[in-house]
Amino acid sequence: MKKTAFILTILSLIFIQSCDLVDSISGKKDDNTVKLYPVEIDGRWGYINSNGQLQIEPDFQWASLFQEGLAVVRESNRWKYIDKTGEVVIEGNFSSIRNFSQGKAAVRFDGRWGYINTSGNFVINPKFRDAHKFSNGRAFVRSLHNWGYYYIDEKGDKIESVDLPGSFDFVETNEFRDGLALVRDDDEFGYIDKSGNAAIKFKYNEARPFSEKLAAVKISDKWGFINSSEDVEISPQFISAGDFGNGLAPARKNSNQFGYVNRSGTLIIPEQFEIAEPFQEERAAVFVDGKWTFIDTSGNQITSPKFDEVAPFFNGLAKVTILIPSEMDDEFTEKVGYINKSGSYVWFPTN
Amino acid sequence: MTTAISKMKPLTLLLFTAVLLFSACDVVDSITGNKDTSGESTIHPVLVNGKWGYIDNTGKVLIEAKFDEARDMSDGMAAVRMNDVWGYVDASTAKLSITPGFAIAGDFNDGLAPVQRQGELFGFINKTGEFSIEPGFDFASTFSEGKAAVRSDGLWTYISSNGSFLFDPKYSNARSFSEDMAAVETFDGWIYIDETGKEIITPSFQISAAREFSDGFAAVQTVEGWGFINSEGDLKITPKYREAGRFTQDRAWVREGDYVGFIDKSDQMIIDPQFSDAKSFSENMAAVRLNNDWFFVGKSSNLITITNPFSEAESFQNGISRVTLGDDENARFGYINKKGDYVWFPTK
Repeated sequence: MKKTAFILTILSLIFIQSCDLVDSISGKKDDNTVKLYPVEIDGRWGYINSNGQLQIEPDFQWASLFQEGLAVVRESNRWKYIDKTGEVVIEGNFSSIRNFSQGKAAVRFDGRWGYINTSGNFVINPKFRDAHKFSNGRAFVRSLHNWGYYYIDEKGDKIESVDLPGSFDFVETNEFRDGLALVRDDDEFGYIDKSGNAAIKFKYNEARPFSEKLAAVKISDKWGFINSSEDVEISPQFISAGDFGNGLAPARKNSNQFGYVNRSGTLIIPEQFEIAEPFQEERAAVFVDGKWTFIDTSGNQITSPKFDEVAPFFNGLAKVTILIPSEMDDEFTEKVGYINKSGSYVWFPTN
Repeated sequence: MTTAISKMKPLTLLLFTAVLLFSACDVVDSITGNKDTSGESTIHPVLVNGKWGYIDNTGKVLIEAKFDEARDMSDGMAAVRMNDVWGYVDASTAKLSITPGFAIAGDFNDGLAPVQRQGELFGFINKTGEFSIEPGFDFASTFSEGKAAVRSDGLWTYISSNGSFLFDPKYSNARSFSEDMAAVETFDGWIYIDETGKEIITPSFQISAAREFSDGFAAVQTVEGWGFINSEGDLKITPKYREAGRFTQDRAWVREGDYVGFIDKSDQMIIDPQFSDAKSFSENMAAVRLNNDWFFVGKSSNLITITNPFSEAESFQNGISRVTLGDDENARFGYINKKGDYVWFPTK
């Protein structure tokens, strides 16, 4: 009973972190030579480099990863963007802000979401109830008028389509990948192209976004994979399946546990994990015996399972979290560290 | 227009309270409308330690703060209240030039202003404060294009600057002249007359509300909603909007559903409906309200370019705009330039 509750807690934590996961999976790689990672020291956030050396003093109430040279931080109870020297470069009356993507960042301004450029000026007016990041020149937004979701182009204009509903239902992974976006209309999933046309018909009860040119879809109770021409490339045979990364996708066929399949649908890493995340930078987070670790593409665990929360590898490091139960109450103390691809700590968990 | 009034912040309301007896639309339009004040010395009211004075465009104090209320300059004069009575300051001399003595005082235009002494009828004074047109009307509005709408025994007509009627009072309501036409209300709805009083726009459909002409178009309300007619009386923009402003700089705000956007004269939605409220463009800027606060959009970009939040913001005139911070008794009034920088930091 206790264990179940604990796993549930972990699962919900993972769910909360899924935004980070999505961001880093689909986000543009921050390929600048200076790589920085947020760390928490005595309750304040700063940044280390990939060697674990402190680069930006822990002056912030919160700090995000850098995207396109800028990172979201919270300072003096306000959301701001800093550059890699730690200097605040954009500071507005924003009640909420998101990371930059394709030169634009969604910000919440006087109760409405819009997009600013890297100079901090609006390039799309705050006219949405919600606004997600740009990818492939498109962004998923929520209408002010009827609360429906739709896609906009880089000017902020709605992508119209005559043969599709005016707005869609919410999907978690809504960004365009490989030129296609997963959309939902009532109980049916399909994929649209950048012009808003149905590239793949709305006929799936469940589906995942495209990744490495393949998408997991559920066809008569089993998951398989289709390509962008709607051809079934891996026949429906899995109880569940996830996204491809580094040529492998988590899937489970016969048991309650996940393994990884290749693009032919062959099980390359045997079913053994309670939870399995997609590969990112040749490493995948897996949940074993109540803890997280990472495996390489051969299925070798790079550490023993010991983390309570993990984020995918990004720029060579992965953020790992250890929860220390408090003796006083049911609360946990969170300690965040970074490991490299060999599984060694670059930054030992601190809080 | 009643909605516009109801959305005004208390002070603005206060400013208007005394003249609300005029047709609301006329008053609002003529007070906030685009006065051509270029070349004149311009003064702007400011509130300092609870009293009103005036500054120039650069923020320099021209008239010390000693008034209980102070309105914008019009025709070189600005109405000010001391205790219960209104007088006028002269912008060119920066002095109180007409001693307060009126219960109601309208704006100057064409050298005349409608005023009412307590218990008397409305007349018109000149800039020396003497009656040019003797009191004799139950309501009177500001002169425009050489004519002023007046009400006599419950019916409206227009007078010229010598005080003579354009025609015998006959309309149930009347708006100011603009572009040689004026909207008047008949039993069959609103129509437009020309400067001779001839009824020149009498559409086959009924107009339930009508605005003044500007840029050759006038907003009219029919059973289908708000649209626009041209000076021939032809419907150029089909009535369909919940509300509509007036055309300035080839833009008019319109309300579709809950939100306001801006159309051009071909009825193309240039800025799609997204604002809770908006004011007309002037000097390439328009004040817009997003959720709680007012900001400004630029005409060329159609984007929000002034991002400081204001609880109230007025149209730009001579490069500056009056803005309000805070509400009710905590309201502070300042002026910004087009970069959003304060020319006068908000004071109370």
